[in-house]
Amino acid sequence: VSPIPIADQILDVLKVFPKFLDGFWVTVTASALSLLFALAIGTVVGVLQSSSPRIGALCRIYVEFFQNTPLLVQAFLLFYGLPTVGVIWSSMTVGVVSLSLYTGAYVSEVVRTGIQAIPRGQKEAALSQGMTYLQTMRFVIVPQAMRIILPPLTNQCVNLVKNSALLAAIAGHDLLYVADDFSSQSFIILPTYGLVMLMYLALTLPLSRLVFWLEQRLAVGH
Amino acid sequence: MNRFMKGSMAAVLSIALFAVAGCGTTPETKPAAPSTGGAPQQNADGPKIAEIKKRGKLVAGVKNDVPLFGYLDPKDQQVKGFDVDVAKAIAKEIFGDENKIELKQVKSADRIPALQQGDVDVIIATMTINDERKKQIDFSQTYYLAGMGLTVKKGGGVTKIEDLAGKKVAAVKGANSGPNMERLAKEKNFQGMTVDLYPTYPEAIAAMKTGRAAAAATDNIIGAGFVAEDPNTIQLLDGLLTDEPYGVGIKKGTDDLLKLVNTVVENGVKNGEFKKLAQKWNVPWELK
Repeated sequence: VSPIPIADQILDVLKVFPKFLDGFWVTVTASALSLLFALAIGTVVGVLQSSSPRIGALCRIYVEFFQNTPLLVQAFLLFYGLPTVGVIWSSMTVGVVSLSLYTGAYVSEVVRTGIQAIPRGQKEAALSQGMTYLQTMRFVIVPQAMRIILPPLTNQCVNLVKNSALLAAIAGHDLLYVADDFSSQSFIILPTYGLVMLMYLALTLPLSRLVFWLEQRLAVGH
Repeated sequence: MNRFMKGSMAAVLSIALFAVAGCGTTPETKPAAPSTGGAPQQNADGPKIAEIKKRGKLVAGVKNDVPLFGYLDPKDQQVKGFDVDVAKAIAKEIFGDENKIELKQVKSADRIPALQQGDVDVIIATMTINDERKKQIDFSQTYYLAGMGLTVKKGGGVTKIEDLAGKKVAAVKGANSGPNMERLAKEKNFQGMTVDLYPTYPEAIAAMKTGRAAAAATDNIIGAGFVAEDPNTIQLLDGLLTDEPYGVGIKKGTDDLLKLVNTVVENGVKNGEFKKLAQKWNVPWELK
């Protein structure tokens, strides 16, 4: 038990708040970039899964591989493994690539199940009207699937922000990294991780509110 | 119950007396064996050294998990290292025989209590001399000078701390080396060095080996441990960036033992014996 009163500990943490803010922006940057890539990967893979059997199989391999191995192992492979074959990516690059591939796999499953929820007859009707596969998706299936996709997609986005804390393990200077550094030197533990938790909430709560709002808007058009 | 206690106490006492008497008559005390006359307080040895001689062995607290200083060799289950050899030098001074020694493993947090409770006579366990500890125990002169050092890739172009301007240096979370490197960068006024903190030493060293960081800043003896495993690709730079003088820890109030240990340490440092030990264990020798 630290002999320093908890109020003084909190003051000590607040004194170095700019440090935490630096880490916060690294977390925001990594999350935003990864989210962008994960959504792109997830949409493409999710849509392609129900196209031709051969492409579908390739997509399955990707999804199964990344969904069923730990994110931290994927990141360590890129961080410590790639340099042995001469490729050195920065902590940020390793973080964004692994977060995008990992979350992309989950997003693609969300997209795939969303598409499959639309009755098959609609796809057949669109194709019979001379639409290509992609046109069918773009104009008929995806707009309807969006409503089904959004709630689970929110979960994946929030998970991505939380998973970005893996940067701390690969010297990424993110929010958790700053907290680990500060608490291990000052032995101020509770207020440090308390503050960090609030800062993560400041990211994830608005994100889920935003998607909730989008959901409502889409519901109006229904 | 009470009678039983009395009886067993008497038994223990008589065994102890017998053991003490037995020790006194064995011809083990080669150098100046004075305690045959039955007046042990009156000879040249102080009370603590007399106690150790009666016991027939020196009890030394050493680490068993610090490579090159005090570690358990998995091949023969023996504790070995620089610190162990210093302990043997002290045993040799007392008994004329470096093998009259019992090694007890101690963790960093146990070192001072082990001395104070009398579990060990001396502590030789990579213990830095500082004022806080001096309040609780006595220290010998410095027998080994450790400190922060930089481990770098051979031929990687980093030969001194200033070469790290604009580069990354790997350190371990919670260790002193991260803050020390940042302080030194400020003091020596070179710009753009980033400290990257890793959860463990192997990860910090791996970051340096794979080129993510230009150097790893750790205690030099920790760096030396990694260099010993891979001497062809990495090396420890000469010179210390901070000073961590190691001393032999001794219980307060045992001045006779302190004096003897200081003689061993002073001679070992002066006549180059300890430097030879450092070479034997592949640890850097910085004590001048």
